[in-house]
Amino acid sequence: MNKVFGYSNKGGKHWFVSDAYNDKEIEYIKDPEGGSEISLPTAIPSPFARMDLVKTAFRNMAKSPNLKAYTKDGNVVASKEDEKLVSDCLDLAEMMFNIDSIKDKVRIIVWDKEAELAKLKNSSPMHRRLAETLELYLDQDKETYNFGLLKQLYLIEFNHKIIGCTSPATLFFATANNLSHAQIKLTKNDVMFDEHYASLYDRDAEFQKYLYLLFKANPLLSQRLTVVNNYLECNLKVLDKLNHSLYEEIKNLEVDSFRNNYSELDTGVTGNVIEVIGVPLRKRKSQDIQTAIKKSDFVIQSTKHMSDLMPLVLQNGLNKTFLYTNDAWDKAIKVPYMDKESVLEKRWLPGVRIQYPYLTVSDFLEPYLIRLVYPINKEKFFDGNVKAEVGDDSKGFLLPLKKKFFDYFTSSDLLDTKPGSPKIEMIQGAAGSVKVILSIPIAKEGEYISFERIYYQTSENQLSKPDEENNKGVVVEHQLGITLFPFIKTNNADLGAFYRVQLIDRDVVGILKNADFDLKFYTNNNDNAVEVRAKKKRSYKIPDAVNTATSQYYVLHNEFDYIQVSNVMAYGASGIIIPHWPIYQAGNEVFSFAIDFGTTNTHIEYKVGGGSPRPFDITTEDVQIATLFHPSKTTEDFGGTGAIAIRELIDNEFVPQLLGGASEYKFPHRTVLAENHSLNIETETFAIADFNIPFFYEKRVEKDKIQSNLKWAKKEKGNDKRLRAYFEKLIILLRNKVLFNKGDLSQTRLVWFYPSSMKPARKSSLETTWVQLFQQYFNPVKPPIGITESLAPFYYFKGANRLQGGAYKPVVSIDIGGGTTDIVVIKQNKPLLVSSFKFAANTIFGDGFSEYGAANSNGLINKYYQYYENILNTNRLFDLSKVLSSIKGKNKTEDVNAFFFSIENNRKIKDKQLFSYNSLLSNDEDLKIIFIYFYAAIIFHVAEVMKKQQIELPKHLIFSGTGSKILNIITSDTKILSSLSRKIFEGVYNQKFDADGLTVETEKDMPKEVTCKGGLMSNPEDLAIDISAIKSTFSCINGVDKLTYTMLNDENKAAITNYVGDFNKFFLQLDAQLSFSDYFNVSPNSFEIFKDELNKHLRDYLEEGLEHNKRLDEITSDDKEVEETLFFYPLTGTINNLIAHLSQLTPVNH
Amino acid sequence: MKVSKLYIVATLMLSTAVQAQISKEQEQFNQAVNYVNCKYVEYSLQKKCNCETQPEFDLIIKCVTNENVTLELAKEIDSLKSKYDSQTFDATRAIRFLTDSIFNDSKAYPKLYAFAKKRKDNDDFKELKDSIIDTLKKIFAVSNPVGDSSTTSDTAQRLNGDKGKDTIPSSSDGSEGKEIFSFRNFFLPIIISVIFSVILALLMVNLFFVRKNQLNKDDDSGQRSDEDKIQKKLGNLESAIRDWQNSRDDFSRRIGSLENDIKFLKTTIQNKSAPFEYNAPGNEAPVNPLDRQPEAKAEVFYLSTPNADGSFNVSSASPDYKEGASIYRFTKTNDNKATFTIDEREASIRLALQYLESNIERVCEAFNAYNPKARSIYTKTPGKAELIGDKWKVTAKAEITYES
Repeated sequence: MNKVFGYSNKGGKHWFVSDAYNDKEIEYIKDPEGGSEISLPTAIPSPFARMDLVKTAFRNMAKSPNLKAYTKDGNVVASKEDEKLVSDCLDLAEMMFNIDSIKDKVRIIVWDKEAELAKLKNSSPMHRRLAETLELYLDQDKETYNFGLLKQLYLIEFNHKIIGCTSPATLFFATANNLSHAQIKLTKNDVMFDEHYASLYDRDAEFQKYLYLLFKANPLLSQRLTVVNNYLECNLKVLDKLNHSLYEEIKNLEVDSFRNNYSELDTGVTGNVIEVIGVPLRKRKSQDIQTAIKKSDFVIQSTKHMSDLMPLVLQNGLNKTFLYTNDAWDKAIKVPYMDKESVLEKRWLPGVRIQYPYLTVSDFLEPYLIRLVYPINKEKFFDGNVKAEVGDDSKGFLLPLKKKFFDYFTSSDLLDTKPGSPKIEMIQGAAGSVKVILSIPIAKEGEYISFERIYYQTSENQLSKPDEENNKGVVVEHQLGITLFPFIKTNNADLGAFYRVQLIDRDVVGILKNADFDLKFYTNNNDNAVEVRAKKKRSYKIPDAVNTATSQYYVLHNEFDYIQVSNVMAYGASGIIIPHWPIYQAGNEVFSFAIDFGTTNTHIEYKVGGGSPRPFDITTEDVQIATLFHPSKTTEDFGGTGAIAIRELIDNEFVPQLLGGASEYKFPHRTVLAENHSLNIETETFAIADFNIPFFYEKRVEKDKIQSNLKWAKKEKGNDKRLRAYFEKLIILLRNKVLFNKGDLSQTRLVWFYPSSMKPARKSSLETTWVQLFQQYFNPVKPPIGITESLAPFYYFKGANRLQGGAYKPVVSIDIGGGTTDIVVIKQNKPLLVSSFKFAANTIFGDGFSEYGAANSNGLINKYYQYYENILNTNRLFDLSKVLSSIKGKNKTEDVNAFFFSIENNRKIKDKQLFSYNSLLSNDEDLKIIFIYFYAAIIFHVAEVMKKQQIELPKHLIFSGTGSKILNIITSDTKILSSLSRKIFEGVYNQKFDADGLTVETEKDMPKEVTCKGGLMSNPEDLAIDISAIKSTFSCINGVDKLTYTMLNDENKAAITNYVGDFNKFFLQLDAQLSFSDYFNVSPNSFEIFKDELNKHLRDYLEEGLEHNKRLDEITSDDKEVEETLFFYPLTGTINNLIAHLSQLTPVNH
Repeated sequence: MKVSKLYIVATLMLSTAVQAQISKEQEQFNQAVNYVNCKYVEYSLQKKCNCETQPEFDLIIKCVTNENVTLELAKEIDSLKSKYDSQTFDATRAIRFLTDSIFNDSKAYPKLYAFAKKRKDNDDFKELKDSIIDTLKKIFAVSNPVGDSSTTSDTAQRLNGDKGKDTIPSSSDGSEGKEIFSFRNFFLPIIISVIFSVILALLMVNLFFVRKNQLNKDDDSGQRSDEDKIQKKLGNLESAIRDWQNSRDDFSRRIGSLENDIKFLKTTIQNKSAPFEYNAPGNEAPVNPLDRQPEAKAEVFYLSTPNADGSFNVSSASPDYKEGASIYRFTKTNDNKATFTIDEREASIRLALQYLESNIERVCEAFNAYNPKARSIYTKTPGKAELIGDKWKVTAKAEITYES
């Protein structure tokens, strides 16, 4: 068997002529591994050998039709080794082209031939020998490897390890070392230095174009790097078939664009460019990357963020064929759930090593999900599209959105159901877990990227920590409530914005008991939070004592679109609340309001356009507040959590849901203001934050400090603030009424009332407050109008057609309040006379001239206190009994009597008749004479004043004011009252009434309301008259019209008491004309005592009255005119004395 | 030999007599409880229940029929049987206990307390108690076994109250909680028996040596034969003792086993009677309240704020007390009825007091004035509630007083 020796293909079975092997002959040498071996020879020691291997590899690859490992006729034309060497070289070239994407990891080390050889030569002998050896190589192979053109080599270090170097023969060559540490992805699915070798045509088109342009623009490269040039030509042929468009592009590349399209590739030092055989290399322009990425399908479709670099939105595991950067998305790319780099621009896109902003789950979704103890009020707040796949919908959630979400979208976008809007969905799963899916619209039309996170129930004993890196959130249940007031937006800055937001924190037990919440308010067009004008705390929770809740009130003078709720404690949770704001639509309706700010009660009426007045109300159609909890779907016990403070504190400290109508809260309401016991009045205070009107007063147990006597309180800082706060709350309620009912704010009318006895300074102070507030909240065309309290009722009775025969003849309007009685005489719709005096309900039900209270010695109290205490206890109304005892302890007769009157209206009382103080008094035959005497005194005085002013006999007496309820005690028959009144007038005038007679008109059930109604049933401007011109003060002294304190000598005082004595005589004579016993059931016994005591101590009472009222009116100069008649001073003392005597006659017999 | 038999018989009789005495006392006590129970039921219902026949508890409750309050009362009285303690029993104190002490302890015997409280001023109630005392004296004194003079006289002395240790359980002597399966009740007879067995053994040994000395004095003839007989008898006796000891050990094991079984059964019952699986807030897999089984086979559960209509939401019920949430403690009387009180814990009281109208007044009637700083709220009479649909509807308000 002959053996063929050699690869010359010239025989070989015998001696033959042989030359050196050429390429063809080398091809015939069979690779014993069949070309698949990729473990390159390691025995070759120098970089020069490596350069040669790569050069050879290029040469071999160029012979392969598809630039892959290739075997022809059993001969290996291009081996796997060649494929790897070329691929690694191209990897290096591509890395350099994209160096900006990896610049944090790459370092270029420059080896300057001349300088480095010189250094070696000047060093040790061994180094010198090395230098000489290198020189030898460089010189010998200067043609083959272009060493003659070599000036510098550039070693490339990646992650602190050399991975390759430039080559004058092939541009680059990679080291034979293990390069797995550099297996990164750049712009293509190809991983650098991996085992999947990529030919040039497999690579990024931009890179390919760059290489062709590099060679085209630098012919030296084509001439000297022939193997590479051949490879490029082969690659072009392949491209012609595989990617013809790119082929065409490359063919048409313009040399000029080489300089324009690419940036200088330097070593990190500006100007120190990387070159190969003197040809500077270039790199991709960073702008090009961004331009390319801007076309990515993943670009967020923001509705508001207009940055140049719009971030991509990336989702783990996405398997759609979206365009990522330059190429298609690879579902294998791992997107971190959280990128610790908070500056988006500094982030690196996952999988491609490009620095470009992108967003992932943790950028938009909070680590914690706040669960509430009630279902969210879906009609008024966005509930996050909660779906209860497991469990029920008894508990809602705050939106677990981070503020960053709103950098790109508005709150409206989230509510919008149109395609292209972001969407959120929350799905309740097993064991309290919740899956939140936030879909973000992206550039790819109609497509979304879904951020999903599952929140797991926290452990019971310790707050679980969320694991954002692994996308595990934590559900925390907080007992918090939020209520907005008013729940309306105007979107009109000219109208101003006046919001109060109530935050209730009722986390008092468990691991979250120390939670401390803060609210931030945002608009969609500003990244900064809306300024909070003030933040006030009213109640304070005491966690360990399981004590109620913390209430905070935010005062805002700007509108807002959404709220961020944060637990500011360490590791606290945050969430977003988005209200479904109703928008105010301005209409033309003109609203008119009338406010009767009374000593005891305050009433408001309103009318729309020319409609009838009606008590102020908040109906289901214009509810002014919006509670975060669903008002009807939330169980009364808040799911058994004990968190009812969330609801209770709304009524207690804020604004009721409904007012008037069927609601238990309504006007008229006690004139009281509530505040925290610990309020420092010296600090800046705000209505409905520091103070509120407690509509639950007298209906429930109040916790706060209740301030009464607002109308007549001494002028001092705290009282002024309280008064203003009271007015402000009323005005805000009125403003909201107009807004909710599409009224015209600026056209709104306001009428307010004042007693004619009020000092001008005090009246002016009230007026200023009303005007300022009305201006602030309504910016009205017309200012508010103040009219005297007694004037308006006339217009009510007239408007209600209650004045039979009209008002041609004089009509006397008598407004009996708690402290004062106001009288106006009107004729032909015009006031003729006004008078006012401090002889009113409190004359009977108060302490007379005692300033410090005298309930313990008051006859009425002594008689009825025991009675009420007994029946309250008998009926097990121990709470009311305790309240009674408490009020009695304060020793104020008027307060005790007020309580007696209020008992029958208490919600706990079922048998109203049993507890009716009115009924008891009207049946009290011993005390009846007092009420008749009281009434007669007023009528007598009116008659005297009218007679003095020469006004003809009146035709109607109309009564208003809470004190006019006394008329019901005297008799329920107004005809009897008419008769009594007629006889008094006839007695004074000494003249008989004509056939028209005299009628008494009153509104038994709503004496308080008629003032307001009357104010709205007339033209307010007509009523705003200067009453000083018609005010009349009766001196009781003949020949004296104007009385000063100086004039009050003994003689004049005696004249006054004589006058009172004459009245007493007159009164007793009335009995003969209209038997008190027969018509009013006055007991004979009491009448006898009455007669005995009637004229006693008149002078003393006059003195006491003078002293008392001078103090009250702060009269410091005796020169001042006495502004009210002194007639009633002795009567006040007399009545107080008579009550003491008469109340002892007969025990209460009901 | 006759002497030895006598010893054995005497020992056995003594042991039996002790045990018989104990069981007799307990029988008397049970009989007294039944009688008392019957009389109080009779009085409560104002109808005859044939108490003179001294009926057992099952007959007493037949007399009660559907009156739940009285039924609860009867059950509570019947539970008094467990208070018998052989070590501390005293007839006088037993009578006092059944006619007086049980009415004064609101915590241990709330039903009896409420029952007596309502009738404390009623003369006929006082008369009833007097008549019961007379009968109880008879039960404890007359029914002692005839011929056992020492026991009878001892009991009589105790009835006179001038001798003996004051050992009958009372609410204050700390011995109330002992149950019928107590150590003393069960193991005492055994221990006594063991002691007697040891004494018996000692006697037998003594007897052996006495007899041996006597025999030495006897003539030799027949000596071996007698010794053999005695040895045989002793062997038999020892065998009998061993058998008895084995039996005793076996009984002990069986008692232990039975006790374990009881514990297991109790646990099983409790578990089965839980109304639903309760999880801490948020831990629960929420369940549609309407899907829940007719609530509460559990004896006790807790609720928070009642609804305005005086009902409680079933869905809010919790078998465990929850601080900051629980206010009311409900005890089921049957499947759809329960009684409730304001829970006595400080946190419950404070929570309740925060909102009087919402938390208290809807389901409670106060017998004194509301005190927001009250330290406790005493439930004089538990309220009643009936399960209707998904609500526990209050049918009778709880009667409470605020205590500072």
